[in-house]
Amino acid sequence: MTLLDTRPGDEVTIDTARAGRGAMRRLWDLGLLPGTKVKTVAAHPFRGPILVRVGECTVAVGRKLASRIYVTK
Amino acid sequence: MQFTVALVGQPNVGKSVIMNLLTGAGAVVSNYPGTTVEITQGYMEGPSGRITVIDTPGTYSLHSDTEEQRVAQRVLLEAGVDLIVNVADARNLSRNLYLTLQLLDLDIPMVLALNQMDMAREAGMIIDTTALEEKLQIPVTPMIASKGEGLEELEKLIWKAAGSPETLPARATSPMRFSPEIERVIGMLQGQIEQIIPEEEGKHRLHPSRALAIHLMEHDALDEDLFSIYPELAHLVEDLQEKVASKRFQCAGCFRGCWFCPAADDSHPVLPTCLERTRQAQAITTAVVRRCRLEGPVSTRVRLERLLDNPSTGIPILALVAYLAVRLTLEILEFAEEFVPVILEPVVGFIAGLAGSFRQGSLAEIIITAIPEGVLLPFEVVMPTMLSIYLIMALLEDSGLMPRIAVMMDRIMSFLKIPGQSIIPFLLGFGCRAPGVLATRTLPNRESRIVVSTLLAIPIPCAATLGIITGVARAFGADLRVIYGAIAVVFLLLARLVARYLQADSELVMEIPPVRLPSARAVAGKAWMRMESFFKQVLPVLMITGIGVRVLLNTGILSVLSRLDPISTGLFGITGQSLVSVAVTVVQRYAAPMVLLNLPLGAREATIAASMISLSLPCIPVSYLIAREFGWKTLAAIYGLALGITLSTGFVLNLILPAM
Repeated sequence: MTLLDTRPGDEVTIDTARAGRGAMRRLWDLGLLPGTKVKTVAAHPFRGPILVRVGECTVAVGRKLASRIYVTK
Repeated sequence: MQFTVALVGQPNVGKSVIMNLLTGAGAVVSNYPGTTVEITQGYMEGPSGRITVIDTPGTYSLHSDTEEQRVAQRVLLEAGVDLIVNVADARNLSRNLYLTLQLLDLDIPMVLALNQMDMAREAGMIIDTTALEEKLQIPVTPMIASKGEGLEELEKLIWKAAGSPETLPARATSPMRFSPEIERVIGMLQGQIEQIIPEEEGKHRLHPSRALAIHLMEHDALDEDLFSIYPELAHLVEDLQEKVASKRFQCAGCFRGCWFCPAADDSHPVLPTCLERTRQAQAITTAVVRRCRLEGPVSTRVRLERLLDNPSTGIPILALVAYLAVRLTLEILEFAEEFVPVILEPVVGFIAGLAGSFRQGSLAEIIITAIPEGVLLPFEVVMPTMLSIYLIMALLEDSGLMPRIAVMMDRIMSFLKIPGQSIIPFLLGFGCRAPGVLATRTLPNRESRIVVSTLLAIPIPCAATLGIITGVARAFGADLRVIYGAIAVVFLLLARLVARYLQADSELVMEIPPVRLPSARAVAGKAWMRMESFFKQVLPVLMITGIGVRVLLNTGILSVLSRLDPISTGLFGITGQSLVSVAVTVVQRYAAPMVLLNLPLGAREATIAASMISLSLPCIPVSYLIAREFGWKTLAAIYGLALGITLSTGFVLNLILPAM
């Protein structure tokens, strides 16, 4: 299951991500590392970005990247 | 007293507010030498002397993937920093501590300013700062910078450190200990580093060997910078790579996670050192934070945030905000256009009278007319636009609305194959393209940055261009719909074309900061600083080009160009002299109306000339930035594109525009 498959309100744990080096580093910088618990807050319509809550902060992740972040419930 | 303090922290932690509180209005913004990153420097005055305070660009970590991060690192290395004030967001303690742990490795005395304590409390976090002090072995000051709370304690700490640096407690052990196998590799590297770069008189090692060793394992772009400081390190890495590859050498406790290791295991999606640092930051956070469920009603701020972050309510609200922001800019512009000339009237009249007393065509006459044109024009057209755009930008940024607008725009922007964050450079570009090009740094990859920069360089009308367009429209009755239509068509075509050619992918990862009530002081300060540096750089250039253009006009050199008339009239429907105004925009956009307004033009001619100007080559400052950010080849390509576009715009408009 990927972050893209989550619905607003879901709480999941990140397993791994497959992305380019740059995108990867930005994910780590914002705390989206393997083992991190995140909560999906909202999904923008028409395949827009997904908002997730990491700790006390909100991070927007584009759909394409979200589909390559693997998570478990 | 020679004492330098560096403010270091992640984006959105309130670093600039603290900078403002510490140093007051006297702070100066400048580009860090050799980079396009701006840093702010100011001074704290006190009875015992003066302390230099440097505000570094916001950085999530000391991995140097972006130029901001590299500058933050270079300030720490080169500026002779005596004390680091690490500003952290209490709400996101664990993520902020990652940077703190990295900073501690540098062995520079440090204090932690734990900001936004009110927001943490609001989120139900109770932070035991004494326990945090013990864990990190550095002083921790809780702060609410927006209300000035905690400032006194921070100032006291800084003065105390400056007065007697030895009072800062020495750390017995680093709070960041990695797992045994990683520590073994660090120890091995450390030993080698200490051997090849001894810390001796005359050749001071800026980095502690432990920091260097960890750095080598994590591979940063800074390595190039590091290798230029310590060429020995490059050899060390090469040597190790070669030895490991030929199996002549096995690191003690190899975990196959160093970047330079040929045996590195692809199954590590995250470098083990980074992962362990995150875990350590999380462990410290868990130990010092007590969470409690909040009773009572949800605060207005949180409710507003929920409203904005829910697409069904947020999108309409944000669209309205964006609309109002643009509307407001245009209103201010219109107001200024009527109001400013009235104020400047007597000055212009006086100068005209003065110019009349000199012989026509004499150098004195040329200069006396050129100077007001070079100085008054920017005040009349450019300053109001810049000021209003900078104010509104600062408002949107400080309130936390800007990133939300970027997220909202992401889907729409993705049709152009560019990320939603591009809305920020675009909006900035309406003020001045130069900061717009710089703001492309927030974009995820080089390809997207080039696409956005190309759009900024060619079709996006900056304040100066908008000034030309409105000025020309007023003077000659040019058709604004045609000009803006041409810009829009070129924008859409160019975006698709360049994005497809570069195959830019648009991955969005962005922090959405909390919604805040922006402080008037911070917003005004930000807008003022941007204006100030702009005028310092632009006014002298304007004066010089002003004089140059005047010389061309008054000496009649330009009339030579009327020989081009048959060609330019045939192709573009405008006179050869108007073509000059298109060429002049390369030097300075503000100079273009000087040429144009002095020529006899019809409405149709003016429409075509203004469209061509709006879609011509980027000005010199922007060209320079593009060359520096992306290389001369990219700049050459953009010049080629721009030349093609401006000429074909003139050609096409001449074909399709009816006589006016």
